[in-house]
Amino acid sequence: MSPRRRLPEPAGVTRRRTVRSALVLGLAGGAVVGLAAEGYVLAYPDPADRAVVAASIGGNPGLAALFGTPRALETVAGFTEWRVLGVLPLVGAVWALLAGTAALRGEEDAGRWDVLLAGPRSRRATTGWGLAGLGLSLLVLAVATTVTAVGTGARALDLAGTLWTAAALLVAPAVFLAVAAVCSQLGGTRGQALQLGAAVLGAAYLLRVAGTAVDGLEWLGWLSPLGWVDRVAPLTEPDGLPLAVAGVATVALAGLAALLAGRRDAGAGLLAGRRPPRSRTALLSGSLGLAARLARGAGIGWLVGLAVVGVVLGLVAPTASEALADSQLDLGLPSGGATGGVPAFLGAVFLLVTLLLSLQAAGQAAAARDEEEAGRLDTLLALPVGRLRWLGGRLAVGAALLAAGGVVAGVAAWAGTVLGDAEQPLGELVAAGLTPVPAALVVLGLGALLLGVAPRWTSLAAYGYVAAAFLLEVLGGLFGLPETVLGLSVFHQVPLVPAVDPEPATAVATAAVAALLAGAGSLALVRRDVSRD
Amino acid sequence: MRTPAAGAPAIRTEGLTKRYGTVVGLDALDLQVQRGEVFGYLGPNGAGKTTTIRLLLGLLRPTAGRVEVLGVDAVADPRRAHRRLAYVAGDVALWPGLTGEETLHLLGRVHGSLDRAYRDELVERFELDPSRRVRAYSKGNRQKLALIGALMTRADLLVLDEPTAGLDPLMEQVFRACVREAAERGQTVFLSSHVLSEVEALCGRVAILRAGRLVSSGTLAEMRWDGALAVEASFDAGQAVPDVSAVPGVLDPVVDGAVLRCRVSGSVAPLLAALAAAGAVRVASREPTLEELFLAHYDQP
Repeated sequence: MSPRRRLPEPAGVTRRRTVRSALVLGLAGGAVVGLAAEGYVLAYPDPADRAVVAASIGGNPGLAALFGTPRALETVAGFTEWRVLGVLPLVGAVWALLAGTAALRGEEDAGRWDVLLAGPRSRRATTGWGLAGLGLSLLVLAVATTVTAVGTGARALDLAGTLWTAAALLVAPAVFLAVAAVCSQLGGTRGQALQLGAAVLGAAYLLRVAGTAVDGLEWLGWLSPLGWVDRVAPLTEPDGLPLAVAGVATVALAGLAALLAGRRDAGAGLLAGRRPPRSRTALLSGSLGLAARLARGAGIGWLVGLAVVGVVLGLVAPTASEALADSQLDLGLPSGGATGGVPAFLGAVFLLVTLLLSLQAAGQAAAARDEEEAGRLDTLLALPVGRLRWLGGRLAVGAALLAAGGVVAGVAAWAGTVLGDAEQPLGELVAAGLTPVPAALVVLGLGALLLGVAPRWTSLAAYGYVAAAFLLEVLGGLFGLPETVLGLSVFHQVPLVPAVDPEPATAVATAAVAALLAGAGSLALVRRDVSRD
Repeated sequence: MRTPAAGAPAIRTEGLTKRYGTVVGLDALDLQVQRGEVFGYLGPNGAGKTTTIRLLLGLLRPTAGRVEVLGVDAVADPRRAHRRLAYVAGDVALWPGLTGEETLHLLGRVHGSLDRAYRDELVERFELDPSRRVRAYSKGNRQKLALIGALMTRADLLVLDEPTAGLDPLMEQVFRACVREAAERGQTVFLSSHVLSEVEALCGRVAILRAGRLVSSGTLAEMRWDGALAVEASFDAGQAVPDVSAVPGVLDPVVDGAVLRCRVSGSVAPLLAALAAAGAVRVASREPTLEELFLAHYDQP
């Protein structure tokens, strides 16, 4: 065994892994607050411009549905609030689900908790220590967010408003860490826990969308943590009640998680099937088949999620697109408005599909690293399986899943438009769904490169890149950043199909970049040690 | 296709070295394991046993030196070597979502050779219920699953890294029987262990590793021959027990009442003469146990 072996100490393991990512997320999130405010001042210096922005966005129910309630968009504070709170809580919630399930379930799946549970500590206490580690991460996130937001927003925002904003930004990470803790007790594995958590996040988002978009259903927002974020209105009409609700919910869910933890067996979940498993050996004849089998469960759940998102986007497209023609200001929509309406709206909001595909690509890379870290790669490579074949199989399965995701999103959006009485051509929407696939392949290729050269950073860096690239695309336009900088984001390489025609040349070039990254990663992988730490 | 030389040793390393930064994992290891032998690889935790095995398997890149498995360069062409070997890790890592049956199917198919009848027999002998998921197995059951997965291939070389950690004594007996059967069939077994009784019961030749260096190797008989003999002499009560510390070859003499215990390396003649002169009434000697040999290597600074 190599000389450095990590000790199985759950609070410690949790701390090291999550604190690092919490710090990065906090610094980035806090900076986004200040940068969004500064960017608004830069982009719209005079009141006339600001009035146009406010009118076009404020009058658009679709944008309100997707990004939350706009308030006082003609002010720096109001615009910053809308822009920041529409995007960052989603990133924070995804981080919380990944970090929470990794800490409370990933460790256990890897068998590292067995050592502890054999000692005098109970499962509940062990979970409690895991929760304590997550609480520490949340604290780090809070401090990093607050300090950075205050530092960067000092010129454009008042201090009280900035502090309220930092508090509002903590709602989603805190609640979803606790959601992840509960899901970790319910699911039979980390994968299942993550799927449950993703379903909760999806439901929370849809409840928030419905609460914002449909008159008379505003109360639905109170059922969603993302609705609470929306109601804090930190920079315009700050309200402490939603923060209090979020705090109570977090504590209650964390307590529930600890309670549930005492009621289940190690390595089992409360919802895990009681039926004896049936052996299915059809896929299990090689490393490619194994990769497909391992990706199957979570992949199907993800495709179902994409289908729901696609249908919702298609459904809201007709109403949302009505006022969109005017609001090309910072969504990066094609000028002219000739192709306005539903295609323009879908072209813009398929950004969400790009995000989901990219997250899946990062997840595939993280899963490959997990295979190595848990020692299962040793088992496989001790058989007559080469490293290239292993990685190739994983990347092929990942790429196939991403392509399937694109098709599902397109078909689902089409079905949504049919349901919403604004049918669009199926072919165009499938093309729209497939358009982000090359960009997601770049993330997959980046993951392969990380696996080859910096394996320990694979998960953090791949997810971190997706988050950074997303923020760069959503907020970067405000600053008039040069094209070369914006181009670093894969999101920037995705044409807004169906608002514009597909660009096969861009797709091929992007896919070629992905192949280069994956190739470089493969070369590095065969030249390094296979390592569990 | 070039076939590996039929007479090539099962394992051959030359100056095999692995450093992690400044930490030396393995230092210029020269080792030969012949075909058909059961070879014991001993050393305390952290001595470099697993590092050696991961180098054999091509999982680590050597800092220097060569390693050949069945005549095939393990670094340049691990896949070819792996068709003819099977491996069990001390810390078994399998896919938690697969059932035992699925795992054995996967391991057999990917390895390429599988003796189905023997697999079923092993499942029976190890008393494994293959219908459960790996995540539901205890550590011992996971270990059994991995052992079955390796043994069922009838591979020419079995590389076993502390394979019995977690097995109960009954299963340990089954494991020993399986290793003996493999050896009878002409398979080579490379057994890394710190369970000395297991190595003593199974292995013909042994190598002892300490802090990344080979400190001793040979057959057990040779090592015993080289090792110090344990001697115990009794005297009648009232008789003076002689001081033998100056007698050539005598080590660590201890007097316990009328009993003298010591170890002798080299010829026992000078000691026997001294004991006879002093009027010893009983003299017993025995060869050192593997444990004594092992500990002797670790007592040295």
